[in-house]
Amino acid sequence: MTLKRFRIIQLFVVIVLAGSVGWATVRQIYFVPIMATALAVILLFYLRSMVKEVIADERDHEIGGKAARLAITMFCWIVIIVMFAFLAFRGYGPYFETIAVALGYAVCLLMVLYTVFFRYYNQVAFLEKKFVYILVGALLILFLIIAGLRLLSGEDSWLCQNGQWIKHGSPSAPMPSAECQK
Amino acid sequence: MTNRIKEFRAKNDLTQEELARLAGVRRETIVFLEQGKYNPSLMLAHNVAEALKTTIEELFSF
Repeated sequence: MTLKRFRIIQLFVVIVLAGSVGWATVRQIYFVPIMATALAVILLFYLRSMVKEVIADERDHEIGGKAARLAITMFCWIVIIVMFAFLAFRGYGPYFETIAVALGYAVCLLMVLYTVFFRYYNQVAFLEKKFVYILVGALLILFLIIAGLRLLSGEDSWLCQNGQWIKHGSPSAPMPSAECQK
Repeated sequence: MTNRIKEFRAKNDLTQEELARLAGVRRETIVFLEQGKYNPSLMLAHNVAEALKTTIEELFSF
């Protein structure tokens, strides 16, 4: 397969994937986007392996590295600013603090992943692959435990019911100062 | 850093596409190399020199 044909098929797959994800999300059928994404990734990996030409060389990797570093830096700055804005206005809505915390954790996760991969590539000659697998596995398990605990603990927030703010669980945020108008 | 890739490529009667295939890179990388807009790794410099039947010293000068 030629690189040009691969690029055309890749574009077509992305369009179909975006369409199916949009369609399924509107209808609240969430297994379709997951299945469609998995299928698209497998298909593209298979097609990529059939391309005989060079898809990316050292120059692409160098540019990719620079672009990724800049994107990570910009993402972190923007998200941190948005996070502080949400924290500053947490009194106006029950979910403001939750969103701020989620954004903060997202930045932390990104920085941890960047550090792990940087150290991996920096010391790849000194590390055994087994150690790296154990480290990635431990991080994955830790993430699943935290996510599981968070999901099992239920939603802790202030709910607006019959014109009054009602405590749901044990929210860390104080009662919203905005008027409850339901 | 300057290079004589274009000159050696003409001597060997190779197109940019052919040289790219021999060196294991994309054609755009050869274009950037010839224009002096990209400094190659030692491995790529070696591959290009080998494809052009010359040495790194002949091809690149500092």
